[in-house]
Amino acid sequence: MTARMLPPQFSELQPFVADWALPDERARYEKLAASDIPTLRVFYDAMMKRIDEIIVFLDTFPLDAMPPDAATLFDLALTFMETAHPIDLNWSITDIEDKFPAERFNFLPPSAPAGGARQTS
Amino acid sequence: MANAAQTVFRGAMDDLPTRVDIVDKLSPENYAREVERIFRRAWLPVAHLAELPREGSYVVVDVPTVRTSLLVMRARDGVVRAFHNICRHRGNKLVRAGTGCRPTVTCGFHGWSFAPDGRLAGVPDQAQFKDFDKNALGLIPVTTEVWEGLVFVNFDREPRWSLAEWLGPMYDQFAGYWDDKEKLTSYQAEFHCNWHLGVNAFTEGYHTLFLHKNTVPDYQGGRSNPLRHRPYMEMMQRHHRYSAPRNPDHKATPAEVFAFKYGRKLVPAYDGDSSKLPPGVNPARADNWAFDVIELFPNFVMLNSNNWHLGIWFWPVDAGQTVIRADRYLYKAKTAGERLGQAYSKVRAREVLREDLNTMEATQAALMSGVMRDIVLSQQELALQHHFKVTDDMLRDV
Repeated sequence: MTARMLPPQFSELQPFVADWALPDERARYEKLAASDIPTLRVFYDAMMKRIDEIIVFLDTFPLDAMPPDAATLFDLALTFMETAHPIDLNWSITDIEDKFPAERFNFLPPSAPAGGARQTS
Repeated sequence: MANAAQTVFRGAMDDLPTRVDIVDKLSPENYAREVERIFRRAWLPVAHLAELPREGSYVVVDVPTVRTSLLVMRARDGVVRAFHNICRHRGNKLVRAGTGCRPTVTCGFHGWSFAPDGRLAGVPDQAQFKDFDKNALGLIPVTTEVWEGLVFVNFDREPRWSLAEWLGPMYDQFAGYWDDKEKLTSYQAEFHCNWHLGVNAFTEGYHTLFLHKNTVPDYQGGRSNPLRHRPYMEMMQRHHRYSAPRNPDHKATPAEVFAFKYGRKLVPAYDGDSSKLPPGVNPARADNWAFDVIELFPNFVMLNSNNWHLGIWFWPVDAGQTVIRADRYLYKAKTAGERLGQAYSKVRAREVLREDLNTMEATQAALMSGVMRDIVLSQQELALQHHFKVTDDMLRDV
């Protein structure tokens, strides 16, 4: 399998791609829940150094038509945005105890219809 | 304009109970009466028009409360209708689940097919049926009406009120508000709790200082409103709404700064400018406005803000089991910067939701001991007082 490559100007983030350039909310949540704070902080700090430039760069492309290296960077940035809160909020663990377990959530894709109670397919 | 530290109350304030016999409310006997007198008479939102864009579009909505499944479809005439999702041959569930678009829907059992207007379109080997009247075997309809993009049904044989009467003064107050957004997330889960506890958990802000101190520590209130009093609360005949107070002293955390730098402010921040929004949103034009909470009695709670809205359904399965579904819509992102802000906010809001959802099962279990008869409700929990009053009114057939 070919590795997904980042644009060359962000090459120092390439080591994070395999684990952190994730495609959807469920995958990003699971990565967060499986990580400890020191691991998360390494990713967070590396991304915070470049995040402004990353967004400016990504904003030059149409949302639906990013070239592959920009799309990889976008997944990395989305995962950053979806996993930053424990560091932002100074938590000592990555998923606060005493919350409803996300494993019991049915993460429906945005195209799932509104309202209905038991969507068993 | 409403002052942030003092609540402005408006509407039907008489006879609101500050103590509620919760043991009675959670009982199976009471639940059975609620199914008959509330859920079989109320107008219930079930779907968004946005999910039915074309002729042949359909959506399956299971409604365990009245033990049915609905098939909501848009027909050639453009009209959206809801039917019981049951084949007229031998009662199989016609469409299993989900959403799609087809010229007819076909039962997997014997191939009977139905048109989007409910007509029985095709019967394989029809000549084998004696005295067969195809016209009498269309799908069983349910009274359906649409309001501002929300599809409502009513299970009463003859609804006692029109949808306009049911919604009351809010009917004309939201023109266009729900257009132009995209659904970003949708979560659903089953809970071992009564539906009242579910609705109650989402219709007061008193808990926010405590329950959400780790996830959104300073998103509401602030120095001039440290106890986070709602600036405005309005009790209507069946429904109620209140506005939540933004914290003007909210300090963006490091990643949050970048999340919203190239997009619009979203939770845990707020764009409090409601000047371009219709009159039903921030109805008192409160200063330091964050969002509104509206309970469409009995079981739908809407959170409306600038740039986003949330719809939460509480579908009772029985007196101790409820299915909860939360759909979040946001302004349509046009750039990566906007999409990244949405991602940051979506997850923060999800964590707040998980905290809200975590109280209900524990409360249900504790109340099932029967040791505590009454709950006590404050002025800041007026929506709960009103919810139980309206429940009692409908049970007494008022």
